[in-house]
Amino acid sequence: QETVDLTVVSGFSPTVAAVKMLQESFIPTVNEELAKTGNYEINWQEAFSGTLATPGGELEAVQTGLADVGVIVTAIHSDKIPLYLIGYVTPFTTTDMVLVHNVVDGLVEKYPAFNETWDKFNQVTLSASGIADNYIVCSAKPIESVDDIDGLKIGGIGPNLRWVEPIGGVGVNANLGNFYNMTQTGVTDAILVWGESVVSLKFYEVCPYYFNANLGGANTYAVNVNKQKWETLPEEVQSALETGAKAYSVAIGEFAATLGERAIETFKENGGTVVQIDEQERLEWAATLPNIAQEWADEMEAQGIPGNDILHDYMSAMREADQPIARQWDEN
Amino acid sequence: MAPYELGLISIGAIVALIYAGAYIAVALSLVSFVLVAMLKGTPIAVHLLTLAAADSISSQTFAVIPLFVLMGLIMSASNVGRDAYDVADHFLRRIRGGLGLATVTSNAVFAAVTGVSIAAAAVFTRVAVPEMLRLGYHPRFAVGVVAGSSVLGMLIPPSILLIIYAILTDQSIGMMFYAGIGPGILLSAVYCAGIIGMAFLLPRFVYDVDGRFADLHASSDRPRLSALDVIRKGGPLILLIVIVLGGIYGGVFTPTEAGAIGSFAALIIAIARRSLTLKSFWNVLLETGHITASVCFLIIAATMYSRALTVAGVPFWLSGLVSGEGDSFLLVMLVYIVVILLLGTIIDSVSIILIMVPLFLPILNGMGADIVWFGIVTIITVEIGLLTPPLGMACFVIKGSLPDNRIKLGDIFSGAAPFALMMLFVVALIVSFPDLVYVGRWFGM
Amino acid sequence: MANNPSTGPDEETLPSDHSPWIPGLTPAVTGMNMVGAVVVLAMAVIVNVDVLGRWLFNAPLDGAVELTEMGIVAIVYLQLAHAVAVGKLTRSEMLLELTERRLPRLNLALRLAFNLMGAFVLAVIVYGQVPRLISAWENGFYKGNPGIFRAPMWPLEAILLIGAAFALVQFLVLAWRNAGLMRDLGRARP
Ligand code: NA
Ligand code: NA
Repeated sequence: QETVDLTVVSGFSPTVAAVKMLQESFIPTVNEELAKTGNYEINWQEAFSGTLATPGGELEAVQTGLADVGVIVTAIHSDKIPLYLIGYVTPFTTTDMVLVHNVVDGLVEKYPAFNETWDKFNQVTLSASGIADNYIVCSAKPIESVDDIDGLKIGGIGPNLRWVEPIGGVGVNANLGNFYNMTQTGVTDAILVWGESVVSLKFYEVCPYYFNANLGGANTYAVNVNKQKWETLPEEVQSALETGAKAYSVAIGEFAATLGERAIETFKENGGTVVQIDEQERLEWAATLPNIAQEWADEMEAQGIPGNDILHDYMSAMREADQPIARQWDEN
Repeated sequence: MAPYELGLISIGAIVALIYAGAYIAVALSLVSFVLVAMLKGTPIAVHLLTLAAADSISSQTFAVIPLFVLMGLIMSASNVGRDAYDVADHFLRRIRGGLGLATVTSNAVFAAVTGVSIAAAAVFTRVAVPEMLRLGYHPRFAVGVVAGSSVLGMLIPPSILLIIYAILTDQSIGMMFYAGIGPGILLSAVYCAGIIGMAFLLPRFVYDVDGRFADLHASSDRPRLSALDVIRKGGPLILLIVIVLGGIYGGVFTPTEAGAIGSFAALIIAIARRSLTLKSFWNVLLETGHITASVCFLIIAATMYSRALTVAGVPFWLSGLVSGEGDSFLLVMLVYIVVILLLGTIIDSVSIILIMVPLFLPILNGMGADIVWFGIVTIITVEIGLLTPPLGMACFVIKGSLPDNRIKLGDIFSGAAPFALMMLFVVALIVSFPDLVYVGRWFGM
Repeated sequence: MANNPSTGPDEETLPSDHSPWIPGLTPAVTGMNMVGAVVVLAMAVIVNVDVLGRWLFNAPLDGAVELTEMGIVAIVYLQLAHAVAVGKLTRSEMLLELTERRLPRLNLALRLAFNLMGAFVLAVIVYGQVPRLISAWENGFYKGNPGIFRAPMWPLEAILLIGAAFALVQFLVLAWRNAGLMRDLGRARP
């Protein structure tokens, strides 16, 4: 039996689902796969909570070989890997994270541009996954309808701030690490989050109004391996890692869905108010947005990437899966 | 040789280099480079250094350092700090070691507006040390009191360390802030008792009996303050506290933004009192930059080293020591505290929290420990590292802000030692009586 | 505090880890130091504008978070070389002071070694930073988000590179001075 050393990096701590699922799904699955033949064993070195890289620093840590495997938060690298923002430029489309993961993985297989994106950063991607199954507005002030969002200061991870600006929301850049504090202290009135995070990070304590706007989900993470390391790995280990990454994506999607379902219940138990968006309002909101998907596709085309085809394939897959699409982003 | 063994040897190398007189940041980064080069090859060692140089301080956590330092230096340059200190001194000077008490008390109050300890260290070095020397206190004691009481800044809210801990462990920041109040008061009280005790039992430590700084002593008694003086001198600081705390708890800004707002408010107060010239303001800006640059360069280097230790698997090896099923709760806490104290000698506070808390949190959680209480124990223990050689951030800032070159770094460390011991005593108290963390429970609430 | 750069202190009276005044180098380092102080002021202004704008006019300053996170890095590297030049980098001086009078040769040898170590570490950082700067420039990396606020990364990467490079040169200047003093010592007592 041969032992392979692998360092896994994330700037976040295991309280965040993406890291929790690495420990509970990715690593055990890879271990199980390898145990089937018993030829190889991995000696995992977990470098979480910022002990090797800051949140956002994982990309460079994997690029330079400081870490072998990393969970890259694609949503915070709009400048480096814009191609992966596809979920963020197509809001109001789907709330099925496992579907998003399958569709994006299909796109990665079909369009070499996805893998080429990572070439520049000296890494190979195993799978695209996500956690934000369905963005909602968690607010400290009552929201009965979309009109109430006008004038609220809304915290978001970045690319999603554009969703709220057309309806009068004031965007404030923030992240999972400081949403709670900023809302508690009133720097933000509301935050763009999803059910699982509301439960896991106890957001109901600071924003008791849950406005389920069905903004939809987006691929947020990619599990990557340093390229040189990947090339030295035996095929059996490579395929075990791929299996592990797929299992991770499914597990994280299901985790988001399970906790997301409980979110509304947990919210009410803690004295919060839950308001479901009126479907007509949701359609109107989606229509107010500038065509951010088209802007994105144009920018991709300018870089020689078939952005329009990718967008069309993504939306077609969502239509085929009967998702609650409020706006056909590929049709102007 | 196992990588973690190389990691342990590297600790010895750093300590040796630092005591030999190497620049501390250089010693940390050089040893990190060599350690990672041996384990993973030179190219990766280069990346480790460069990446940490670029990303380790680029966050809100560190962006507040210059802002809080700026606030402190404006207060110092415009005599707001000194006046407040006069007021505290007015009420306490008849007690033996009274100026020490005044320093602790005014630091406790200052802690309510600052989120980082180094700002308090910089300010009170300027304000309290010259006053204490003038009245015949021993320089070692004077800098020791300042070093010791500067740690209150991180314990009494707002506090960057409490915020980092809360985010890391998914606790409410408000709850962590609340839990910092009681222990902050407790530590201040223990300091006061310790100072009075030392003034009676070890007068040679407290007062400059050998006359080493006789040239600075002034025999004349200072004028007494009238009630009006007390208001005039104490008022500006109170106003600043009201603005900063009111702003934070009134939801106008975050604790991390408080430094910038406080600087602005302090500047307005200084202008209103006509106590700050354009030139002295420019010098304040230059000096804020100096303190920030030297402290942040140390933090960058300490981050390099903590990442190198991660590469060597030292943290993993450490947690393996205590994860045994049969370990008793007290044994685990004891190991935890000892390890933090050791790491505290050479790594910065934030890095220690990032390394240690995630390792021990699952173990403590499994034992049913109170995570808020655990955080307070962690933070006080981590803060002891600010006072211990060879890398003691509070002592460095004091050295950097001291106008008098005759006080050496060694004087500051030995002056701070009794305060480090008192902190350890408070840690022991809180471990023995966990309820001490919640100030409400002191009164049976 | 800072010495007047136009005249400069007498080299003979400088402590042995203090850089002499050097045409070109010293004015550049002093200038960077001053720019660093301006960045401190700019950071305070940005946060105040953001907070007051948000509070009074519901209009936060886009990019305040990104700019302060970049500002702190800029301050450190703008002022690092100056800190090296004036001997402000933190160290424990116990052994150096003990050996200053009694073992001057050992003392200078130690100082020389420590300054070379500093030069080496900064050389590593400079070497690793060059490709990062090129990559940031060529790919147009930025902080922020499209459609809201973007700040290009290359100026910051350039400040890091230039600051580290000047600090490297300053360490070499100090090492050179240590070597010179050692040579003088050898001449005085052959
Ligand atoms: Na504080
Ligand atoms: Na220490």
